[in-house]
Amino acid sequence: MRLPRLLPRLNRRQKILRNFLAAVLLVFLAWAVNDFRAPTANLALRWRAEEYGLSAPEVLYRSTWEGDQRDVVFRTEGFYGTARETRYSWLEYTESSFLLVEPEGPVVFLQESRGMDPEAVYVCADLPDDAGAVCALRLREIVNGSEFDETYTMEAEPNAYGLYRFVLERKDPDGHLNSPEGATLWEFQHAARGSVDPDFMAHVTVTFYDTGGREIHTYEKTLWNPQREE
Amino acid sequence: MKEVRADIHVNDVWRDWMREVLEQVRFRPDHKDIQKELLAHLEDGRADLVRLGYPRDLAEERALQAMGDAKTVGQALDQAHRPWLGWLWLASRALAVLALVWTLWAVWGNGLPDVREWIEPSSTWESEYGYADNVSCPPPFQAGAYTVTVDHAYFDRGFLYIEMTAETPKFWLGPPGLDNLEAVDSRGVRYGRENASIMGQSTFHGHIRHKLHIFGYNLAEDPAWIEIRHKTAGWSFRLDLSQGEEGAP
Repeated sequence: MRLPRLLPRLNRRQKILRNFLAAVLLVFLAWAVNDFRAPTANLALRWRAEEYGLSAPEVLYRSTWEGDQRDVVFRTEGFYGTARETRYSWLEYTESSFLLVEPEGPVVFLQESRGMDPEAVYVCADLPDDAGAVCALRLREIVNGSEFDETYTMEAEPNAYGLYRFVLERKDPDGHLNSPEGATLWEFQHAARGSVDPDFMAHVTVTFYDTGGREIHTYEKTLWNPQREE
Repeated sequence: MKEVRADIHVNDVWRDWMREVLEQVRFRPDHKDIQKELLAHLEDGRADLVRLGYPRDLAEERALQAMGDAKTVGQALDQAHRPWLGWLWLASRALAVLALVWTLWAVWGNGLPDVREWIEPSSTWESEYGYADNVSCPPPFQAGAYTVTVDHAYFDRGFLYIEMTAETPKFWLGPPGLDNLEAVDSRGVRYGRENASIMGQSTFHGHIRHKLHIFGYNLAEDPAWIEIRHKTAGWSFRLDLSQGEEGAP
């Protein structure tokens, strides 16, 4: 393309500078249009933590990608938390809002930070010699006038950070969101965000074992209280 | 080396001379432009001599002589067309093109951002809620990366509504997370997520400035003050509820 006569002809160095400046401006514009998504997952997590007034989290676990999403479990400044990571491209990551828990002892119970259809629950244990654990999660809810009352029993071993991932095996694998189990699990996820149905109840018991199979610790907590009598 | 292309106007001597010149220039991507330039100079020289009455053959020979030794010319051109500068120029051009493509793709997919909303986010105080300020606003305070200003506050019969602006120079951050609010009033009554009495929300897709809203439900009806606290960030502010006067933002 011929430049108009009024503009100065640039030498090669000036053209290089012009091209790099243009590239930087365009990249910034693209970044802004994409809502300033972080170029790495760790940076996305750090920025989200800063929005909560927290320092850079230590990642305890990341699940494998399910499509463009995965779960992350972390701790920072005395809080444990979960979030959902989304990957828009190989250079664009975001984090969902955090689900944060303050530990009350050596064991912390955590839920996935997703609105529905949980796949697992997490327990972080700061115990000596624990080699495995069994988690019993009881959920109860009134769905369309009938009671759903089931206990999920799961086993797991800790990772290097003492984190257990207990996989929730559905009682009704073909059930959809509106099924009694689907609705109860939906309530389980929403209760974690502070909106608890009065009929909903959740109770968790985690028993820890050492390498010899001896029971070394039991954690038990009623997560949300039912309003009606048992 | 790529052959100097055959041209009906270029004789063999010229072609050989240009080939020898280009052999000295290491940055190959410039060979085409250099060849064009050399040929233009040769043709101009020949044309001038033909106008002066020289026969065409002699004019071509003299024009070539005037250009100088091929190796010397080539070495001078190689200095002017340094390979590292040439590759850097090509890389910068490719980068600019890629950046343009990425930007166009992003704009096509997302549209242009509403930057005005980033700088002056809309207030819903009057337009949606129509409340009148009846609580004095505390001075601005620092909340981690944000400077927070309480713009409006309303309290009546156990219901509290606060609109605030959070500003940060860290434009890449979104609004502050308000999931972990708690409060305590002058009577020692505590409010938090557990009893769903105090909750906050913020503008979405915002940067730089954000509008925040805090709601309190089923609070005590006439405490003297209430203190709102963010559990993870640690900031807090207190609202004096005893006056019931128009507040200044």
